[in-house]
Amino acid sequence: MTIKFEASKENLLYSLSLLQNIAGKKGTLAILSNILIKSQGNNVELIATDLEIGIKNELDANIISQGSITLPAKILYELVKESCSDFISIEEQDNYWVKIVSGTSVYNLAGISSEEYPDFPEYNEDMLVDVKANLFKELIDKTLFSIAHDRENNFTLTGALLEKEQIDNNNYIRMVSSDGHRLSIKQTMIEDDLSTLNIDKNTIIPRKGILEIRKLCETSENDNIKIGFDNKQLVVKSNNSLMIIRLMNGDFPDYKNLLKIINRKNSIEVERKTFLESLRRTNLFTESIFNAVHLNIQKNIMILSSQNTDYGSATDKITIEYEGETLALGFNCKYFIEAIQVMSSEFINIYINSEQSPCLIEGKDDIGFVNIIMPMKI
Amino acid sequence: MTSTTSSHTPPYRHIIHLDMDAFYASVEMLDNPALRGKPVIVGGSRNRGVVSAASYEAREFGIRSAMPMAEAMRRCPDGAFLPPRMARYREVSDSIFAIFARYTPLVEPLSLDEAFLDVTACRNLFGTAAEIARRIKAEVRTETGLTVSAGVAASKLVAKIASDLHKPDGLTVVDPGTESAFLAPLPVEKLWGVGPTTRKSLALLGVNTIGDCCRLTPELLTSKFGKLGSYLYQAARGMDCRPVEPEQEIKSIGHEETFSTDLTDPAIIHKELLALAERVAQRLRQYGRRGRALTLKVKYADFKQISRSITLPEATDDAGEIRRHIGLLLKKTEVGEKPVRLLGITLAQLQGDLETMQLPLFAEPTAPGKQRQLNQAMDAIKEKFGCSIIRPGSLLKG
Repeated sequence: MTIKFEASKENLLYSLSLLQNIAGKKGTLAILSNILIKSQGNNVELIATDLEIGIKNELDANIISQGSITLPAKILYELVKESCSDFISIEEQDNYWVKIVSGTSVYNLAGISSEEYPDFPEYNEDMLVDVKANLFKELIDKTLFSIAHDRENNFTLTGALLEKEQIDNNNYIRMVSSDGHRLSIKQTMIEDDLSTLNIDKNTIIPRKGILEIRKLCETSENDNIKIGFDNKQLVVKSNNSLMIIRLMNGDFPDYKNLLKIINRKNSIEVERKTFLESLRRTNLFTESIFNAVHLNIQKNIMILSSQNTDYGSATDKITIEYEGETLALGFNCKYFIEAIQVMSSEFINIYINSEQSPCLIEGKDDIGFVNIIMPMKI
Repeated sequence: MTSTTSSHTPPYRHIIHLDMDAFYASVEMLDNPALRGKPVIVGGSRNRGVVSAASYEAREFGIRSAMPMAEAMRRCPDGAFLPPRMARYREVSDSIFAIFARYTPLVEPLSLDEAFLDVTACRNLFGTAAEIARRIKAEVRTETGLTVSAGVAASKLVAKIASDLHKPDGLTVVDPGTESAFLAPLPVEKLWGVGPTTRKSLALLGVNTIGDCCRLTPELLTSKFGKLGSYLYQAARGMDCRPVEPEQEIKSIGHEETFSTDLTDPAIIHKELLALAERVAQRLRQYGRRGRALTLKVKYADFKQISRSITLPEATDDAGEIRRHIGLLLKKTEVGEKPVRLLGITLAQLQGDLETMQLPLFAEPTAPGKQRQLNQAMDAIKEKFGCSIIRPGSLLKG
């Protein structure tokens, strides 16, 4: 059987765009830069995988003949994007050639047999649980920035840790990320029963997968998504998308121990917006690699200063609530900015004990969010 | 005719190139008056070394710098052949550079015995560039007993050619506007970058002097010589706007080794790379720097040369760390398949060692602090007992 169908440009473009990050890259296997197109009853399924992440997307289409084929993802996407017609017809010809008709344009695109495409991973539907898409997106938004980009010594830091916990009969899921210099924790209460959710001790989702889940959550807005863990893989399902992400192997650093040793006595209270704006100003004069800002903390006053060998220096003074001893310490300004800008409390508390111990940030209205930043030697 | 040059930028620069005459050999003669008037040759060993410096008396025998020592000995069997005493030359060099510094802070050292001085801004204090050159020559002679040749011109290129023209103890002044006339009769190989190969190609075009070169169009020069061609077009006219750059900041630290026999054995290649990494790391630590951009250079036996680079997650001055990343770069080369003639390791994007240091949140498997202490301890041992006293086990002979 050879596949033939018609679909609206809008639907097709949207589906293809969701697969671009996965299939659009040049890899070792030529077929992975193709997407698999498969008719399924009255729908068409579009599938992309890079063997780490697989995404399956359902698309409303007018199926004329059932079948399956793979086509190069990038050119197909560009072709649909530039199309001058609202409808596009795709028809498989001999030898895996595909004829695409869109308004006045006719394209012949070389495909590859769908039999060469890797199998889409199996999963167990029963173990999926419902989670609100916007809640899961919030977990990601508050931890994404501190996931390490590349780290050879500690590979597991290039992903985010996911955990579940029952506290006072309430179910929580928690996402933790760290680049080795700072740590973000966000936990959220889930109304549904999480007992079928098989989260291992070290469930680490790679950064790229986190970005794809975020995209999927964005398109689902107020709806629920389903998540589940099965066989070292994470399954995320929305109304018309299915994503399977291979989890990372390895141990995430013991962050709970770190939390235990941070003393929450010496507190600085500061208005979040004032502090954020001051940090942004001071950051203009930091050196690009370390973004070092000096904080001089005295009774009720914090002085921020930075220096750049090319431009000059900056000093800023803000009012805080602080009764402790005078402290002088250095931080990567960016770490503070990125943590504080995802918070929403009017006032935040910063716990600092010494020039060489981790500093912890919390806010009253930022329930379940904690950020920890390690200072710099100055 | 009126000058349209703005009052803020001087119409042209005043640059002096100073080059000590047969520096190493002259220092030897200074320290041992018995050598005066004799052919003195400073250089490496009889078997494989080359001439570092030859006195003017030795040059009469046709002895030149970089000539194999064996040949120099054949040409002048009665010459005084001496091993170099770098520490002493450095000492003399320091006092000469101290004289240069009396006139301008804009001193760009090229080596121990050669420098450019930009005196554009200090002529009101000391007189014209030619006068300053004369004063420096006199001070060098009275204070060190050595002679220096000077070239004065509006660009580095012309000043350097000028200083070489009347050696030893020469002073050549090329007035602005007369560069073309000055250069025209000189052989074209006086221009930097014109070696035997380029000279032959130029000769085929009828170019023997720099003046001949001026007759060629820029298009022809570029089509024949590429980038070198457009440089030649400007250089032949004395055009060179490179500034005199005092005390250049170190941009990269590296080391490379050409092997006496081409390498194919992976085990030996690994050892050589480890030795290179050790040297580079030690030099980084000496300068108090850490580098982030790592480059591996490979020249194969067929002289084909490639380089592969990587940006490290964090700047380093540790040999083990360098060696680990070099291992990754090695996979992108044909080392092991093709015989290798040369290997080199360079680190760029240098950062100061004492600059701010981000503290780690979790103690890492190889705590950088501990490795750092270990490196410091090893450097101290090496300084006291020599480089070969402590080294990785795999580099031990036997």
